[in-house]
Amino acid sequence: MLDLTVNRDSKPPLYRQIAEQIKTQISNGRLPANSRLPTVRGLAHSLGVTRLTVQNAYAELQADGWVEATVGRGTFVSTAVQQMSLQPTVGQYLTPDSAINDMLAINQVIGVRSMAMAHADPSLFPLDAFWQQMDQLRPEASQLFSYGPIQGDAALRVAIAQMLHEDGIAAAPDDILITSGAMQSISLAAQAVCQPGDAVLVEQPTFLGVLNVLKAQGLRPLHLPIQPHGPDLAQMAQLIQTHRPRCFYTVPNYHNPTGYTASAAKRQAILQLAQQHNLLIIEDDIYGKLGFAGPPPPSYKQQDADDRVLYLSSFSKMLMPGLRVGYLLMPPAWRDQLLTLRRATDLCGTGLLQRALAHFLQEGGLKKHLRRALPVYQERRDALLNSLRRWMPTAVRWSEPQGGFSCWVSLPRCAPPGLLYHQALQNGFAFTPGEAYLLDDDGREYLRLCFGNLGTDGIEAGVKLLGTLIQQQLTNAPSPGDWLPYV
Amino acid sequence: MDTAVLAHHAAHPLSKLFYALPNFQNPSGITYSLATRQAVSQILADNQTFLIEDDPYRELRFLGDDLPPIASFNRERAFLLGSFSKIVAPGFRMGWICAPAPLMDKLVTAKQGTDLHSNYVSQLIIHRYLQDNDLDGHIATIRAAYKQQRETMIGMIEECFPPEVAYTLPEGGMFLWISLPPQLSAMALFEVAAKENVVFVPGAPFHVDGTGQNTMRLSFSNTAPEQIEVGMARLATAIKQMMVTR
Repeated sequence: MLDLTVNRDSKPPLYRQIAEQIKTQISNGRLPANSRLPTVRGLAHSLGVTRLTVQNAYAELQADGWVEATVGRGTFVSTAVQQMSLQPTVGQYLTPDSAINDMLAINQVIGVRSMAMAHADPSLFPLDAFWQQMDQLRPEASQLFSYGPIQGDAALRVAIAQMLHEDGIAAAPDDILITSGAMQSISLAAQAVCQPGDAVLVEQPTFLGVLNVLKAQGLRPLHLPIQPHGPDLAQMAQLIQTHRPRCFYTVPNYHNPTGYTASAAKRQAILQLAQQHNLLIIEDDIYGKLGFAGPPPPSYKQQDADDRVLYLSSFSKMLMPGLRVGYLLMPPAWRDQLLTLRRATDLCGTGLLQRALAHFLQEGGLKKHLRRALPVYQERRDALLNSLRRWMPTAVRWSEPQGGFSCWVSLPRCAPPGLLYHQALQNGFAFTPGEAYLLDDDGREYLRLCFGNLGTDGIEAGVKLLGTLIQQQLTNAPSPGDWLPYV
Repeated sequence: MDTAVLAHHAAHPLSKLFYALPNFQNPSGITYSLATRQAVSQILADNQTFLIEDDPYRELRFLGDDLPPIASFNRERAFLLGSFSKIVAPGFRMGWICAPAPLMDKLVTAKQGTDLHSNYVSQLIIHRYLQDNDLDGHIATIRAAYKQQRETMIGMIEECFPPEVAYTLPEGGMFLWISLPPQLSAMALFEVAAKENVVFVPGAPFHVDGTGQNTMRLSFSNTAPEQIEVGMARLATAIKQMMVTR
């Protein structure tokens, strides 16, 4: 009944493989809600594994809400599993605003295999180590539950300054503003340095959140197409000269959504261009520590001779997003304004989590976590690239990310926008459609596939499904004369 | 409040929204009467003006009866704000906005553009706290403490402050509002009082038009009654000194 295989040579433990495959079958409808899973004994026998292995698999499925076990009756696919057709609002609007809403909503739905969100894998979170730190803070609770300093917990700023120092950025703890994540850092930075109506140069495509920020603050995005090693400098210079943007927002390392990393040479050239034209740079290094093959090229901030770089990062991708802790390096010129803006936004951050994080960092918790997590992400990246090579028609192209969570896929446009996205959702598989990124029409359809939060089996199954859907689309493509462009 | 002034401002074409704190207002300690709430709601409706009703102190009522939020008279353009900062603890940075569905959609998008979402750990902690504990009991405790502190402070004003000093009688909350004789400066008083280790918040920064130089906010929530007595006595001395030298 259950078409499962286990591979003893593969890295993920057997129970994890079994759980992943069952999740795939639940999400693509082969195992509908309420259907009964095999008995532990029966499945163990048919797969040639121990009962404990199957028990662990079922335990994980239960913990994640996919199945419910009743003593004496058996294990059943949970009624909470929702077909995407019951979520009419998801995928309804393909705009940056709603795309993030969709992603956050899909993340909560059981039954969808999602490659839609550039999210770390919660099963890798160092929960015990972090919780221990929180437990030990009981004596300081009175202080931590009161209003805290606007700039953020001092111990955390010291720990972050130490981290930055190791990455070659000379920052004093007092230069650091703790924020509630990169999103807030970007929002505050834009508010501080820009006036409504200012133009902001952004990569195309770019992090969806920054498009939301620009819209909310009345700032005009100037789109600079991104290339594998950095933007076209002539094009960049042209845009700067014509439109005089105030600043350039960039994600130079393991870019979201493309996975590209800007080369050292490009960064130097861009910095020169910025100096020439008095352009500020907002450097978002949120994926900086998630490289699979050693550290990335030197940051803009490292080479920032005249304080024109606002460097920001966060613990959301390299550790846990639920902490909502990010940091922004404040150049002296913007310091007072940034603090004032922070105070006017939400006063201060959550003391308990900041202090726990400070101690966690001091005890080497982040380094330990990355040593465990990075090989897993690398393996998933490899599984994704191998699956793409195996299952995608030849017309499909993709990036080869050296870190982070995002891979950028493209194919010739041959169907109405959103059709592939909806078809995949109906089959229980989610990705981020390129339409959300406000791309110029170049005749290709784009997809972001995130590999951080799905096991290798799920990735392979998802890419195989996508490959099938894409092949169908390419085969059925109407002739150019039939096709009305999306406006 | 003078609702005619509100009506005048609301009628201005650029007036988009009204921010109000109708229960034990920070900084004045004043509470809108039922009649005022209804009148405000009507004025805003007439002018299609949005309402941001900030209500963090609502539970901290000592005297009088609970009054309905202004938003309850007309939900359509109203945002009703609440917070755990004054009734549980401020360190979790947790509050809420109630708004009708069309406004909520825009709020969610706007919120997403500021920080994606509020800290989930804090939300879960507060949720568990509410589930497993008697919040009403806790509020009753702090309410009783604040009430006693309020009484001590008002008692000291009546006993030691010059009669020329006006003050509000808050029905709840954490603050009361002092108006010194018009020619006196609360900032100048601040300098004098600070030397005697008594501090308060001068009222001028709470005004948008540069007025209120003679006003000040006294908070009674954060100080024990014995401390309040000592502090108010020193403040009274400082005020009398200033009045004599003018």
